[in-house]
Amino acid sequence: MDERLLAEILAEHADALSRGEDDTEAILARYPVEERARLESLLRLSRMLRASLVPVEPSAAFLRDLGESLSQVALARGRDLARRTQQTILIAVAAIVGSLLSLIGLIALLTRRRKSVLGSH
Amino acid sequence: MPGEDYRNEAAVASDHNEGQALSLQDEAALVERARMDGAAFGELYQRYAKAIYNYVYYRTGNHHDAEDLTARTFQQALAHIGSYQDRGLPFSAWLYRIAHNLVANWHRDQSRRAVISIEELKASGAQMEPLRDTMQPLEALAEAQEQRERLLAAIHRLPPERQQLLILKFVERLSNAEIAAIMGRTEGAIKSLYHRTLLALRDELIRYP
Repeated sequence: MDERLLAEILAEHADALSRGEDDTEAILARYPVEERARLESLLRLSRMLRASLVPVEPSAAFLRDLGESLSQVALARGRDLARRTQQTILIAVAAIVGSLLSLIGLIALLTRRRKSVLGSH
Repeated sequence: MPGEDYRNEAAVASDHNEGQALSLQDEAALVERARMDGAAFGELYQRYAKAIYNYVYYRTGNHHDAEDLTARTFQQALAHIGSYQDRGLPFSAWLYRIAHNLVANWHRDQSRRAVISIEELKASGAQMEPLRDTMQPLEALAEAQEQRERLLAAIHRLPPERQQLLILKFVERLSNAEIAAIMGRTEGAIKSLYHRTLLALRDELIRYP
């Protein structure tokens, strides 16, 4: 049995175990005795892994408290972002107003000069 | 920024894999919202908190460090979600990467190879799946528990990526395709890695009977 086939068999067997199906004996029955020995220890090891590696439950208090602290951090970040955005908008508005006033002042100055030049002629 | 918090949602969750499966596209949209929306990050937290906890638990061997490192994983994720880049992988792949790095640092700080807390193993023995034959004598149960402890100790001596593969396969019950996406490999590579992992584990159990 080549390594690739063996890897496929083991992978399918592990997938079946994950689904709650144990077809170890059926798989072993498919192969001649000389190949079964090679397979058997690995298939049985997979079964042990399936039986031993079971999900553990974190404490509800831990999940709740962590959720709360993350929520507060996210909220603080949001307030900070809103404040910075507001500041940016205010600065932009001030810059626009300032520019407009400068422009108006310049136009007024130029208009006054023009009138003065025309008036002297 | 919405003021909703998700602490109660996290406490209510009971299934190991929380919520309905999201397509990669829907999850990407949720992650995008989570950059600015705390409630959206809360959904991601609820979805993956237990998975990350289990990963860290089996890598460290005790609940105390599992809680600490799980908290740090999500704190880092929240702090850096603005720079998260969608590469077409599940969001969990990024979370597992963060957790993986934190566990690696933890091991280094411990200045030793990971050692399973025997107290934790014994306490978690109750979580082992019930034996089919509930009439097994006590000696057989004790032997089964001892066998489990040996197996978990052997797993802890494996390289980190092999431990990760076993946890994703048997604790999270992910398919090879999902594991491949998280670990950044092809399905074929994952199958091959599983084969080599079993061989290495078998050798560990022979070496340390």
